[in-house]
Formats: sequence, C-alpha cells, structure tokens
Amino acid sequence: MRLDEAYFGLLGAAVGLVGMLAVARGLGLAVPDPQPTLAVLTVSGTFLLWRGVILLSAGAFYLYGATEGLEDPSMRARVFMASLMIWIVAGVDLLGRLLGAIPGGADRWVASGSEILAAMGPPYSPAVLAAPLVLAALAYRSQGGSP
Amino acid sequence: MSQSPTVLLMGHPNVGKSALFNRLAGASISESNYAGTTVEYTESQLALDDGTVPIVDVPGTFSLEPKDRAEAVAVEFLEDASDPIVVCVVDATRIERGLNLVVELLDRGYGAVVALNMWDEARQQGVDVDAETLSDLLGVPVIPTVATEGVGVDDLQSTLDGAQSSSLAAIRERLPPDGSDLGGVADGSGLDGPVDGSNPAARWDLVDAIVESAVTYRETAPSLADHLGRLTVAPKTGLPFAVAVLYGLWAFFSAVAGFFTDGYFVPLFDDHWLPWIQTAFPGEGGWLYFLLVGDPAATNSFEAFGVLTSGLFVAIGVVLPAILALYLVLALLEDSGYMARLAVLLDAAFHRIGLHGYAIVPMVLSFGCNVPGVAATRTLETDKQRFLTMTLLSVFIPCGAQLGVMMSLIPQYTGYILLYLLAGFFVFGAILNRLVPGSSPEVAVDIPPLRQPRLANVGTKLSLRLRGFMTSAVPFVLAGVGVVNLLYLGGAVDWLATALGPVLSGWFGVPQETVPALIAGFMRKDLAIAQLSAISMSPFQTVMSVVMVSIYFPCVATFAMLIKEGRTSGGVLRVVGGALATLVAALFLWGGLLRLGGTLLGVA
Repeated sequence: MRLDEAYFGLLGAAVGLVGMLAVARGLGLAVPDPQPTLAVLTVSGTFLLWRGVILLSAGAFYLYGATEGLEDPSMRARVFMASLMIWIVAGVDLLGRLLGAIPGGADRWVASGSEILAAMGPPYSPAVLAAPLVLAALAYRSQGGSP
Repeated sequence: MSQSPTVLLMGHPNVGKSALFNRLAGASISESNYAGTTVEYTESQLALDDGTVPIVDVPGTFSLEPKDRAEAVAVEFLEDASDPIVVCVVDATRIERGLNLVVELLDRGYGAVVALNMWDEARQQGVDVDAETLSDLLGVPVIPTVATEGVGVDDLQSTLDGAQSSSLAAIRERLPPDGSDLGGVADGSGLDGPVDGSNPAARWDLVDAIVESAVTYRETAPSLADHLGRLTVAPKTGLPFAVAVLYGLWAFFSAVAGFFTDGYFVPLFDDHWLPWIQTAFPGEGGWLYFLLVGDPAATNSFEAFGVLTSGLFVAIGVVLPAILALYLVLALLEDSGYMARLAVLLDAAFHRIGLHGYAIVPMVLSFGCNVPGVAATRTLETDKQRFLTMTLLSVFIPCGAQLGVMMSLIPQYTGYILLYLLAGFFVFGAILNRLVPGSSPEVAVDIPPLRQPRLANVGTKLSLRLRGFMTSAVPFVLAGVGVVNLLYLGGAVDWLATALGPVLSGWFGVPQETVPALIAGFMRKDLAIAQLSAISMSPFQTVMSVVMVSIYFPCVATFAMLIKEGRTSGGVLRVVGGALATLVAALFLWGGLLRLGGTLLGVA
C-alpha cells in the first residue's frame, strides 16, 4: 500500500466519522458535543446538517480513493475534490469568524488585536482542523493526470 | 479602407469573443466561462492606422440558421451591416465546430478574418493547428490568439485590412488531392462535385477535409482539471461538491454582508446619521419632514421610513454589501466554468418542468438581480421555455438585495423561506409545463473547461454590476420610500389597508399593516421586507409576509423587462398576462399552503 493511500484512508475515516456526528446533531439527535473532551473541536453552529453532509461525502471520497488506489489519476482527482470541499467549508468558517470579530461595536470601529485573536482561537470546527491535514492533496496538482 | 465598415466579432458561444472585444476596443464588458454571456450586442470603436471603425461584439451563434433569440440577433446584425469585416472567433480546442461557421460565412460571401482563439489550451490538449496552411486553404487570414492574455491581438488588428471573402469551390480546389476523397456524403453532394454550402452534411465534409490537412492531434494525458471537470458533472461526486459550493456561497454571502451591515452600517446609521438628521432637518411635523426623514421618534433606520433615513440605509447599508458579496462569488463561479457544470447536474430536474440545465444561468443571475436573469432567457430555444423561465424567475426567485435584507432581519428563517420558494419554483414549473402549449426540445449542454478565474475579469464584472446597481436600483429604493410616504399622506394606504384587511388576515393570517410593504414591494422588494420589520408580528406572520412579498409581484424594473422580452417571446400580453395569472395563483395557493401548514403545526 502506498503511503498516501494509508494517509488519506485514515483521514477519510476520521473526517467521515465527524461528518456522521455532525449530520446526527444537525438532524436534532441527542448526540453529545465532543468539545468538553476534545478542547479544540466543536461540532455545532448553523447549517450543521449541510456541513455534516459535506464532511461525510469528503470522507467517503478519501476512503474510496484510498481503497481503489491512488496511482489512478482519477482517484487522485477525487481526493483533491474532497480536499476542495473541506477547504471551502473551513475557509468560510474562518472568514465568518474573522469578519465577525473585526468590528469594535458602537465605541470604536475596529476591535483590538487581542479580541480578534481570541475570536480566532479554539475550539474549531472539524473542517478547520482537517484543512491543514488535507493540504497533502496539493501534491497531486503538480503531478497532473499522468500516473 | 476607403469606407468605414463595421467589424463584427462572431463565433460560437463561449469562444472568447467578449474577451477579444475588450482587448481590441479597450473596453470593459462582462466575460464569462459559459455560453450565453452576451445576449445583447455591445458596440465600441476600434482604432486602426487610418482612423477608427465601429466594432461590435455580437451574441454567440452556432450557425447562420438561428435557433434562439440570441442567435437571431447575431444573424440580423450580420445581414443588416453593410460590407462588414467579420472576425470569426474559433475555439482552437474544438476547431471543427468553429470552422463549420467559418465555411458558412464564406459561403455567403462575407469578408472574414479567423481568430484562432484559446491557442494555448489547444496546444496543451494536443491539438496542433498549422495556421499558415489553414489560411492558405481557407483563403482568408488566420491569426492564433489567446484573448484573455492579449496574445495575437496586435496581429489580428493589423490583419483586419486584409479580410477577404472566399468561395467553397475555391477552398475545395486548394485542398490536396488526397483529401478530396474524404468526405463523400450519403446524398451525393460530397467533395467530388460542387460543394453546396447550404447543405450541412456537405459543409461538414469540407470541414473534415480542411482539418485533415491543417490539424494534427497528439495523445495527451488528461490533466487534474480534466479529471475534476468530469467528477463535477457525475451525480455521485458532483452533487456533494455542488452542496459544498452552494454552502460556501451562502456562508460567504452571510459573512461579508453581516460584516458591513451589522458591523459598520447599523451603528453608523442608527447611532450617528439618524439622530443627527432627526434633529438637524427643519420642519418636524411637516409633510416634507415626514417624506424625507420619517418618524422623528424612531430609534433605528429600518423603522424611521424616510427617504434619507430608511431609503439610504436599505440601499447603501444593507443591499450594497449583500450584492457585493453575491456578485463576487457569482463572478468567480462564472469565470471558473463551474456554472455550466451545475447546469449539467440539474438538467434532469429542469427537464421535469419543461426546461433544460441551462435554465440555471438565468436562475443564478436572478439571485443577483431578476432583470439580467429575465434577459438571459433569450438563450433558451422556444417561446414556451422563455415564458416558463421568465415567469418562474420573477415570481419565485428572490434577488440578492432582497436576500440581503432578509439575512439582516430574519437570518434564522431566510434559509427555510428560500427552500419554500425554490420548491414553489419547481411545483409551479411542473404545472405550467403541462398547461402551456409549445415544445421543450432537448439540447446538448456545452461544458467549458474548468479554469482558474482571472482576477482582472472578476474585478471588471463586479464593478460593472455594482455600477449598474448604484445607477438603477438605488433611485428605485429612494423613490419607493417617497411613493409610500406620499400615499400615506394622501390616505391611500389606510384605504387599501381597510379594503385588503379581510383577505390579508383571513387568507394569509397577516395584519393589514403589511399593505404599505406590499405597495413598496412593487418598487423594490428589499425595501418592502425592510418595511415589514417595523410591524409587530409573530415569527410565523413575519415568515408568511416575507413569502407574500416575494411572490406577489415582480419589482417595477423586472416588470419592465418582462414587457420588453415579452415582445419577442410570444407577445407582451401572453407573457405579462401569463406571469400575472401565475403570480396570483402562486400567491393564493402557495401562500395559502404555507398558512395551512403553519396552522396544522400550531405556529400560525
């Protein structure tokens, strides 16, 4: 087994599981928030169901790519697509946090640096935590379609 | 050039005509990576050595036998121009298709220059075109170009004087002898006899022979973008990716609009502008004060309802940030080529309502503004399809401005309202498809390659659309507030509220105080929803009244566009009358259904 297949296989399992958790919580099932046990992770917020569906799909794409073999360019493209999905969710999540933290309210136009930094601190959504881990998929960009 | 002929940029949709127009004319018109960007012509001046000549970017057309309104405009332009120079823009990656149009143009005797665009992509894809040989065969200049980068544009410009006409017989004579037996066609009009340019099969045979002589194809491995392109249109992978893209669009829209509106414009208007103008404006209690400032005791800009308070706040503080965010994401999607892929994914769903996947283009444009959405229906093939799309867009698709106000006032309900309206779009689409006579032909959706969006083009598109908003929508918002206030002063609002009260409370379950909002909704729906926020209602009544305002009547600008497009889509009476009948039915049935659902759930 190739190293990248093992890596994305494990990542796919983890992302898929968290996606399932998000879908369950998004549907209103009484699943506890993992935040108390994992201080940096939170599975909550708006549009949780949709974010869960995206994570679950991305996890499935990673697993499928890893099991079918990443020497196949179409499987690498599938892994790249899953990573794009995670970057989209993570990107808008971080952007929302940042833009929500910058205005300083009625007294001043811009919040202090420490306030903005605090807003950007943990806990993070699963997509934000997964985003740097899936940067490895960028390697497939330079390899193009050739095996 | 002795006279001043018009230069016409012609070619298939999405081959880079608008990009070439911008390069040649130094203009800034909208370019997109999907077919149907240009449904109107755009004219500018092209500087040549001996003066300037008019240059026109005409809508894309696949042939000179028009199949839709946009193609008809292109052909009309060609036929009406006196002695035009046709720059036939050909996508070099799909050269056979483009050459078919070139041959058709030459057969009709037009002087032409061929711009072999997307030259770089053709090379990458293993399509090697010998431009010199092609030029010799066609008998007209052939210039390789990359319009987005400006490559070959100077050569093209300097060659315009050399535009020539050529006959198909002459082309056939120039073909090498071993190419002459390539295209015998079933009807006997192959290359052995005279080539009949009006016969598509004979034209294709000639094109095949030309390509055989001037083009070679190399084997190339598909790139990552090619693989991604295929995955985005396959339902199993494409639909989850579409969910991610649409979620990203929505979340970006919410974050950016919220940043500007809640973060800056609300405090700016409520804490500074409103108190200042309430005290500084003279004549409190007078009609002018009521018209321009509104309620002197209001504590926020939504409730004051004067032209200079609520009018300015809604236009600048709420709607402008919302459409800035929405237009930015739409421009990125258009430029990347993803929009056409979304069309393919949704093709099956649209077929159920008598449309096809490309109806997504006017639909998505309508989420920015209904006016360009209605205009974009020109790329649809039949009167029935155009009528269905125009009607459904103007009734069920909220514009970006309206969404922005909804996100600001009722963010917790906006998603549900949008889903309910989209459901109405498809339900009423299915009903209209059965009721409206006419055909709904199948079409092959043209999928452009996935490309990295060009920031310069995205910037141009964004600035053009924002300028359009500032010059067309803002005056309507301000005028809308003024009209409603004048109707208040004249007593018309109270009269209408009394007259419509039983229907509003009996059928829809909303208070009669919503009448002013319904009046304002005819001017601007964003303004109407802003006005609803000042009325004391239960959450369900708020949702109900927002749905009503969304469905009940298109804003005046959309209404004007319906009249304009109705002339060429089966008649004004048919289009406007049909749209009005649909919206009345939709208002009472779809609105009533929501009320019924709320009653059954115990929330109404």
